[in-house]
Amino acid sequence: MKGDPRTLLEHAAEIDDDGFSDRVMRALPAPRGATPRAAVVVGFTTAACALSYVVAGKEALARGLTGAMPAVLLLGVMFMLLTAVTAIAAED
Amino acid sequence: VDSADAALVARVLAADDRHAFAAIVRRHQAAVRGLLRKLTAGDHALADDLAQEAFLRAYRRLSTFEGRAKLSTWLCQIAYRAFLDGRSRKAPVMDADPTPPSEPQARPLLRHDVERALRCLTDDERAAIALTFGQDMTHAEAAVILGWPLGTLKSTVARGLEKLEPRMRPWRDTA
Repeated sequence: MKGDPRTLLEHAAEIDDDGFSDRVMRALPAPRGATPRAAVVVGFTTAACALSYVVAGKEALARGLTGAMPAVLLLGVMFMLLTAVTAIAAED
Repeated sequence: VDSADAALVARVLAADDRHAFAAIVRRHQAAVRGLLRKLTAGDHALADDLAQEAFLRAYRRLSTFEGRAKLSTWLCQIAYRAFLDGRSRKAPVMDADPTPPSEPQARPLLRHDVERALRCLTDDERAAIALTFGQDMTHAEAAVILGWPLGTLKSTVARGLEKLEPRMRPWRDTA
């Protein structure tokens, strides 16, 4: 039945995406697991430092941190590179 | 439930698969946005804000989707609730537009005229019409979403169509 309000209402329902889906995806919360993993790493590091301070003392902790710094920096760089590669792979 | 929809929902629930949820949004955005554009009588910006809110709610509550109804029906139900929540926060302007309908030329104009014509309806009539047409939804499903008896929905739809008919007359024989 041409021109009937029912037909017109059905025809008027067709809508192009026009970037709406991308907008919704950007608004989603962070992927599950990302935040807890970061919290675990920071938590364990803090706990380890506190334990070293109590057991070995302030000076020993400072020497330990200084000695470990190159390895920590290397691990940090590797972690950042790995994160970037994973993010790029997920984007594809 | 459509098997493709069921598979996408399962992927999201099992591994938080964002690509699968994006596919869900792409498959159903037209139904959800179309419903909200009618409910808001053509306020596209508000309709898209509410549609985004509806999909975010759907993402958070996807584990409660039991698969008894179609995914599109479930999403439209969430969208309708988002609309009601939005309306309680800020009542949109729903006055009848005195300007006459434009000359029938193309689909965007048809959509524009339909949305403008919907402003002459009451909130209930607009909701009934919006859910019943263009959403691939049965009267029974629309009645469940609105929380009305089926007979009430049908009579409200009939009353709404009666009001729309003269306003859509310029489009007669052009659809």
